[in-house]
Amino acid sequence: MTVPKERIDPSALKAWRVGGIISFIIYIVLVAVYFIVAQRYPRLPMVIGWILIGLVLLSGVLQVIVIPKIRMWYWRYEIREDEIDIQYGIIVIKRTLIPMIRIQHVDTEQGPILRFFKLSTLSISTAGSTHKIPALDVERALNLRNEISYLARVSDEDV
Amino acid sequence: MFKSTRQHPIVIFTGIFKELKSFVGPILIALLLSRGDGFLSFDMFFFLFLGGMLILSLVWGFLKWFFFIYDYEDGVLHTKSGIIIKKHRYIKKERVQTINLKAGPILRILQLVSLQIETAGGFAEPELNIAAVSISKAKRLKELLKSNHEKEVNEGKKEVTEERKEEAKPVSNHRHVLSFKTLIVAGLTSGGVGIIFSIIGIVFSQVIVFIPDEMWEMFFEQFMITVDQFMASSIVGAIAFLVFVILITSWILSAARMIISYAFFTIERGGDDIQITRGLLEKKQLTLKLHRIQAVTIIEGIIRQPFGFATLQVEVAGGASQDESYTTIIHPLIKVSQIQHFLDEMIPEYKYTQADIKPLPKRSLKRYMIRGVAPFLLLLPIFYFVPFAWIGSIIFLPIGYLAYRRYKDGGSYVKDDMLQIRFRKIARVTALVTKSHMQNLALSTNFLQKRSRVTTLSTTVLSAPACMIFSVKDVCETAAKDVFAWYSRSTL
Repeated sequence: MTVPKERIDPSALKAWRVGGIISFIIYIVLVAVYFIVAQRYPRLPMVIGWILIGLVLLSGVLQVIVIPKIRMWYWRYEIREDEIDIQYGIIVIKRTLIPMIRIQHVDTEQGPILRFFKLSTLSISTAGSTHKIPALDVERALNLRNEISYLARVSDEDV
Repeated sequence: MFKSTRQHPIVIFTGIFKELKSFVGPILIALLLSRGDGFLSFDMFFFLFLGGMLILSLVWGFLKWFFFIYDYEDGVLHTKSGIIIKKHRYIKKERVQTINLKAGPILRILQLVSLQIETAGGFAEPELNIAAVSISKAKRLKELLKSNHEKEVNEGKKEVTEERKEEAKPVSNHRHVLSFKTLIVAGLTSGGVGIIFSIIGIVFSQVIVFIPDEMWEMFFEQFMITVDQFMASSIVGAIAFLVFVILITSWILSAARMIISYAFFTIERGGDDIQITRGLLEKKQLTLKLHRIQAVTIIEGIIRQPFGFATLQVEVAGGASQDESYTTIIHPLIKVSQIQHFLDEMIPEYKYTQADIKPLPKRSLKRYMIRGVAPFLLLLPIFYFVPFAWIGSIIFLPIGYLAYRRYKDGGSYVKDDMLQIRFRKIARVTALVTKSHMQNLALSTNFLQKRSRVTTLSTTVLSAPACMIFSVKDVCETAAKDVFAWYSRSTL
């Protein structure tokens, strides 16, 4: 059982980092608000503010530097003629096998950050579960979509 | 072929109605609160706010309408939606299960309908919802999606029936009636005690408030006198007696419930159908299509297992259109040694080979024990600091034993087309799933599991209300890989 062949687009790393930075900024603003409020109401202890700063910095490091790297490292997929094989995870590494004939529909999704990097998320739904391949090159996602749609149609096995 | 189309623009306005509905509450509250002080000064703000909301939701509704586009080409229905997050959805015609046309009063005036398309699977939302479309367009779309679909389904059915006929040599009728004795035993061992016990507890705690103190005292005195005759007049004895009475009552009640709903349980197979009839007061009848069965589960409750008894259940997927999915009991109480015989008669596709199940590797035992016992270690400080609470530490005996049983009972086995997964929460569950009914197969491994070369094996099958996931933790890595290779249709 070798790992699936393909990795996801390298610019996914950038997209995840930008996402991480944005949420980092939002957290900083929230903490700043706490400090401003705490100055007016001396009953609110400053210690909490400092703890919050620590947490925000930690989550920033994790979200911007560590997690995207690990995610990228483990993310693999392979689309074969009759099945899709994906592997992903950060702490828990999950390997999933989805037969083509079980696929009900395919979605592509694109938020503002992904659009900027010309990426797109492909999500594959069976009757009982949804699986996402994040941050694929737009072109690639479209091709995969067509490929999967085509392959999945060939079969007419019942549910 | 169906060109890219937007919904009828009325959607912008019907959408607003929906959103306004959610504003009615807050607006009413605002009005009520403003009654006291100068109404007029508040009024301006209020109307500004209301106007703003209206304009905002109008703009939002417009954008939503503008960006929702659907088309149909080459057997694929495609929708594009989303203002900020762009979403494309592709549904293959063959996968469409139901097409619903609905029309509310507003739509009816404008000669429009809303169209919902659903595929198999129990997602609560329809896969596609076109809120307003002209009747003619809706009908055309329905034709396009249906024409082939109907034919294929019928063909598929024909194939299936032909296959079945070959399999089930002479179309034999099998019938199984649950004997009265078995029913009673099933009731008495149903293990619903816990549920009923807590219901009684809740009712009791609610009612207790309404009992006047005098009556309470009177009752208690009376009660104590009665109890005195049984045991020494200690309060502990009285409480023990009370608990005992409640336990017995709830046991009898739960047994009665089971007996009433499963009385005259008859299961009968004729050709492709399984028919189940049961019930004492209300007769319930259920027909299952054989090929809709997604999995068989064998449940051995803690009371039943030592006597070699189990309950048989099946997971059933929704039919092509009308009926829903469900979990259903096909035998309330069966001797484990009889299971294979019963399955052969009813659902011959499924084979139960208990002896062959591959147990978990030795190295998993440690992991199971830690997982089971660790949460209860949090209680240790209480045992230490609260006087007499140390008696509670006796809880580690059953907890530890349960964890051990979970380890002992876990396992998996693959033969021909069938995967057997066995695991235990409280009762021991063995799930039988054929390859063709597994929606996927997943192995998930955390870094600790990776270190001891074990993994969690899980699979999804269709059931009610959404789907059922069977999983067993800490399977030997090589065994899991074998299952993975077995499920894969390509050679890995």
